[in-house]
Amino acid sequence: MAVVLLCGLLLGSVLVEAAPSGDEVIYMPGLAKQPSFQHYSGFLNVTGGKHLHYWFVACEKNPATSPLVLWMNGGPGCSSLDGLLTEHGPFLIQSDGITLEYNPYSWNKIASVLYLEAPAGVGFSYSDDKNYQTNDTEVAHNNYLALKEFFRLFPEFSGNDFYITGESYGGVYVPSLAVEVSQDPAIKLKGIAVGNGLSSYEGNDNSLIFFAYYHGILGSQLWTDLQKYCCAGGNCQFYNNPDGNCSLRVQEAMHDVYSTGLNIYNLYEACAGGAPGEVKDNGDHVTLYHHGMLSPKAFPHWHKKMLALAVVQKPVRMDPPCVNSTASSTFLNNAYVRKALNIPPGVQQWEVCSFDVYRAYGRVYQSMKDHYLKLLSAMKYRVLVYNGDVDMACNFLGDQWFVDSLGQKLLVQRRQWLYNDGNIQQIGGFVKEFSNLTFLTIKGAGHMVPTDKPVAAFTMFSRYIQNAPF
Amino acid sequence: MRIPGRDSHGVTRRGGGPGTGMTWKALPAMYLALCALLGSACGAPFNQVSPVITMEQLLWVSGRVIGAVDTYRIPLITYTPRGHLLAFTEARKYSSSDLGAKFIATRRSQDGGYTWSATSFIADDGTVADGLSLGAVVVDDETKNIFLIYSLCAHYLKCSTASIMITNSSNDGVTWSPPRNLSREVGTTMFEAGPGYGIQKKFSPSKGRLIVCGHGTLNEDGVFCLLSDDHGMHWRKGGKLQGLPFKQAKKMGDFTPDECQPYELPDGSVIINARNQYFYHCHCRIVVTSFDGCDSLPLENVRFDEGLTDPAVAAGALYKGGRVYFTNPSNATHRVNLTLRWSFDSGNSWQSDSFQIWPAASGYSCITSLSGRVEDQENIYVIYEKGRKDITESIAIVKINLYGNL
Repeated sequence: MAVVLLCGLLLGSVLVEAAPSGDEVIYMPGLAKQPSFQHYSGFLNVTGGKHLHYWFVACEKNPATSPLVLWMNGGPGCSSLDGLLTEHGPFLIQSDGITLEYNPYSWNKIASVLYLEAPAGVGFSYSDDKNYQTNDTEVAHNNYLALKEFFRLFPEFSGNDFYITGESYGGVYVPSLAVEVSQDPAIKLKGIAVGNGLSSYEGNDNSLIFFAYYHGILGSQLWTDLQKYCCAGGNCQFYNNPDGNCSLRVQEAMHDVYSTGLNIYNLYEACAGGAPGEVKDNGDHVTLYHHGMLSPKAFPHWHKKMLALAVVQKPVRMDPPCVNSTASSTFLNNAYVRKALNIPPGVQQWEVCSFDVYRAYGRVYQSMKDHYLKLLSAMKYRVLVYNGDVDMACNFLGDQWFVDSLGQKLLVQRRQWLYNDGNIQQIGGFVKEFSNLTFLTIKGAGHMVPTDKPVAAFTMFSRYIQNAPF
Repeated sequence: MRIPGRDSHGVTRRGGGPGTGMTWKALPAMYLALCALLGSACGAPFNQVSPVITMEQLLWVSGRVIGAVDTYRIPLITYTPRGHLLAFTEARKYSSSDLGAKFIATRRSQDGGYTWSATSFIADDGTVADGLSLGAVVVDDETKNIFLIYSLCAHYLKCSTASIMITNSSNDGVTWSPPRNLSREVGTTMFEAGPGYGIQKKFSPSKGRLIVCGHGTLNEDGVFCLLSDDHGMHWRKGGKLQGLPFKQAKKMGDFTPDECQPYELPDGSVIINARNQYFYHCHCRIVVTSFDGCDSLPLENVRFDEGLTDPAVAAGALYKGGRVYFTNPSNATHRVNLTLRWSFDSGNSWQSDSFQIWPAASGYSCITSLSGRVEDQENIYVIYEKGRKDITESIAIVKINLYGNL
């Protein structure tokens, strides 16, 4: 009896050392059946009284040896739980805001995935002083500290192959964090993957005009004028062009893209909630429909309006336009769910994007080129830049230009890649492979690739993680 | 086939010399006489062949670094109608096995092999269990078309029907047509072309005919040829040299002609130099001659070339400028020591000199040459599987100057 008891105690102590048992999600509301894998939700405490919420989903099979993947959604100011609940998590939120359904294309089929809400102020993450002013470099460093804290809590994962992945403004978060992580030999960084990432404001804005014209959004008169005022010798400068005639036409084009009710995250999808106004007074709060990651410079009038909103007495919610996040927020603000996820009562309500964080955010990098070049120069990290090709928030063309501009050695020429849909081979998109660097498109997917094309997205993810040919 | 390390039994019986052979001594003699008349205009005399490697590059490296492809194997090389070079190889996605899913990879050089375009994947079999197998490339110099022939389901793993596929390029190898399945024309008997190049007959009989030779399943085996007399529009089965015993699983010592490389001599005969899979008679090459453009491959035209010691492998052979060149890992049992040999008498005998291209692991090889410029007469190009320890490590191309000129 005594021996059995002793064994039990020893076993208990081993478990505590391996993972924070207090963070384990014991019972997940919304699921018909509890999962076979372990998952944890809690806070990673970093300096300055910041507490970053994480939800860590262990791999379904062999978590001890499977790769570890960090996932970050963008904004700046949007929550990575959106990625978990609507993109590639193990269970996806249903429209009732109550039910979770298992996702057969979950990334945790082949990897353990750490969903991090960052910076403080986003989702359930908070700081003691409630000061949510931050910037790119501080975010990269705090994310690094949070990661170190994760490995302190979960030392058994410190030896696993590690990948940093993200989407949208994650195009800034991911490479900036990766550069910092690459300096730390204790972390086995293997590569980064960025989906529809913001890589360069200039490239993003310049390419968007081409994208919009050739996808039937801009009229020919406007296009002719854009060519006339913004282009010379075959080169077009739509971004920050000092020519007043040009910038007027660019504003007109941007208006057509962003402010007419098109779903900028997927040109061919309907706009959830109908074509929205830019600002909507919902009585108890004001909703700002804003796409977040775009350059404030491209929208001077917008920026003014936004700052004006900040002094309104009502709370301001920032929602990505045409995307319905009600189900996620209903679910995550449910008291039982909060309790299951170990969120203390004092922590703020969950919102998909934080207006406070967005408004005060300091954008340090205009282009992520130096970060990519630094990572590539190590000649050991595999970099994947992938784009759903009907997204207009971070369109594929801008990222294609960006990847080309890195000047890496071309190894395999651009080609289509195939995936199995049922028993039929379909073209998933196109891929171009450089030394340690791949640019890949997912045909017909928008900004949230796994949401739009789950089979193709999972195929891409697994080939990337397993270093298999696309 | 193509399983390295299979080759292990028996003893070498080298020597023996020519004399088992064919006809075909008249032409070199005539050539010599002609050269004597013309003086130095014929280029270097035969005895001055002294090869030197003037350029070597690795075109593909295995190990998941180029397109994350696990292993590159089975290299082919050809000249193109516009005088450029085209290299092909299987890109085995997940392992070094002959089975499994693959791409066909190609690279193109427009400057005589000094620089090469980045790899293109021109065929992709997805994730099938028994994927594509290369294969042979054949140039139709009359129509300036390039054909690439490969097989699907060659090992019947999780598939029941083998197919021969053909794709062609009419723009010198830049783009390739959607592949066409030849089953309706030639049936579904398993046939793996080459690996190597096919030929177009330049002399009668059957001048202009396209000939692609290959082999069947390991159990039945034997050399078979596909023929086209209308520039690749239609194909039919030509001659075959069946293994013995017929329609029975073969074992060590049985007659099993296998992977092969044809070339044409100026008298219009076609020589097929084949892998001797189970070392019938010798650890050396099987050679069969066809005098009717490969409509038949008569058993009485078969000989064993004991001058070409061979561990059972796909070898390279080329007729150029009155000489026959041959490359293989020259070893009775192991795939090492890639060696170039040359013959002044159309392959009846081989010069005692030889040239070592690579001492360590060496596998399949294929030879081509260009002919557009004067200096092209001095050079051949050999593509081969090269490694320090394993033949699967890389695919290399060497440019060899036959006369020691840099």
